[in-house]
Amino acid sequence: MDTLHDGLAELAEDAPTGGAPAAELWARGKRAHRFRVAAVAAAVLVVGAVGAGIGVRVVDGDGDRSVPEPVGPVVVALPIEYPVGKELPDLGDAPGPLAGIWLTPQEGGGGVEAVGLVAETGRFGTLPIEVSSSYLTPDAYFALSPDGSRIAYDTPADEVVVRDLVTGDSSSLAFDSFQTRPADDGPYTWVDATHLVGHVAPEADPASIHQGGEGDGWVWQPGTEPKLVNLMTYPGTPYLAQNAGVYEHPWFLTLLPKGNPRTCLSIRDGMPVLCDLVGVIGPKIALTHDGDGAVVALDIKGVENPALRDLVATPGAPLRVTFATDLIGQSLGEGGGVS
Amino acid sequence: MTGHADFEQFVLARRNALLRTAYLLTGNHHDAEDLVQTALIKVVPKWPRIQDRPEPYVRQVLARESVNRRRGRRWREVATDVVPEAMHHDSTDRIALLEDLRRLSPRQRAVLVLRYFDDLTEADTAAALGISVGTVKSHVRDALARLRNQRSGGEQSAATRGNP
Repeated sequence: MDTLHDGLAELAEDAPTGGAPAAELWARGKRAHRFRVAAVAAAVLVVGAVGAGIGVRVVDGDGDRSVPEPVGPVVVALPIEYPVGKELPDLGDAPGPLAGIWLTPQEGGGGVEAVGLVAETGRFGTLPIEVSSSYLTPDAYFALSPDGSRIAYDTPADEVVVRDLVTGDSSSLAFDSFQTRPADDGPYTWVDATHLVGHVAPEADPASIHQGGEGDGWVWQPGTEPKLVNLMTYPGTPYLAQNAGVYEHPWFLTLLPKGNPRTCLSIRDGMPVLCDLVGVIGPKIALTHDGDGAVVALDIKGVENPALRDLVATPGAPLRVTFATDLIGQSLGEGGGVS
Repeated sequence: MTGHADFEQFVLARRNALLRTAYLLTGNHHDAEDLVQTALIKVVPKWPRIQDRPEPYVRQVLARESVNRRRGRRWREVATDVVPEAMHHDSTDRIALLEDLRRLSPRQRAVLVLRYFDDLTEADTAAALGISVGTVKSHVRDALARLRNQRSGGEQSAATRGNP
């Protein structure tokens, strides 16, 4: 061996060959994808259930759901005017509650920048956080708590980190004691100001002990490690939809036309669900993008209310956004929600 | 050609190359096979978007999956002043290099494999692992230093000589 390249090449000669037939891999990939679509639907329905006041009970005995803190004074005029192309100040580690956070490619390329809107001042600025370049694609998730006090995001090291925007403290979610692992690019969402819920890796290989089972998820609270929960037992998930009477409430948003890339199909019943859900405010309002990229508020039943549109109407505003739904709800004169 | 047929053709043509990378990333046959299989399953839903040029995305999934798995197994770096016996007496550089790689952190190992086996550029390596180019450089530097230090008696390893 003369070089590391040669050494690695020699070592690679010992690699195995062959494997399962490609047709089998294709079929399993399709099955895993269908489960994943259901998982997204579960996230949508979890937030819907919370917005309706059904509440989410974690099955490991964690019934100590926090009581949301009262929201302070908010200066967020709607529609929000995103400062496209403007140089923004650094908001520092502890800017206080934010009404919204946008992720946008950095000028000159290379990375992703987080831009926040301070709820109490209405001031825009950049956040000193280093986020994953995965946000350049539509596959990664981030979430702002309903009260705007915490953001959960993926770092360049593929860790999920929660930044407390009031204290400036950061917590890296430690999945080391987990039997499984979090989904690499799975959705996570705040169900209230202190409970972050996400999915574990979908079951790509049923024989692998490293993969999560169907319906497995995690919940995290400040100062604790993530705990394994079963999303199948969450009220309002597709798995319990028929028994929970959710069909009485049209959580499946069917406003968008068939073939729209923002809709998914629930494998449970084949109904379309809204994939591009930016947030839910109370039992009545969902936040999503309209066809032009603006963020709009819609009646959750799909009934358009012109008074609710134009949450963010700035042309060219970044599409990657998460809102403090309690705070936006205040500005809309509605109840709180989750993001 | 349908996506399905396209996928099958890709698997047929490239699986063994992916297995070689996976073997270097994992260090054993079973994990390498499992890693490649998982990566191929994971890219199926994205196939319509990547089928024109699937390999970079597949390798990205492979590398990230490898790092995540080892993190999920509670990988911990264990510092030691003692060079394991096998390092002195294993008869081939190949086995020694395998042992050396196993002692690297998951991301250091992935960076070395992508840079020095798959011959990716620093930028492509960074993109594959979702990290910055600066982090790639520091991982390469640290990994090569560790490889040097791990080799017995300060003898310079073939593994640490020369760049591609």
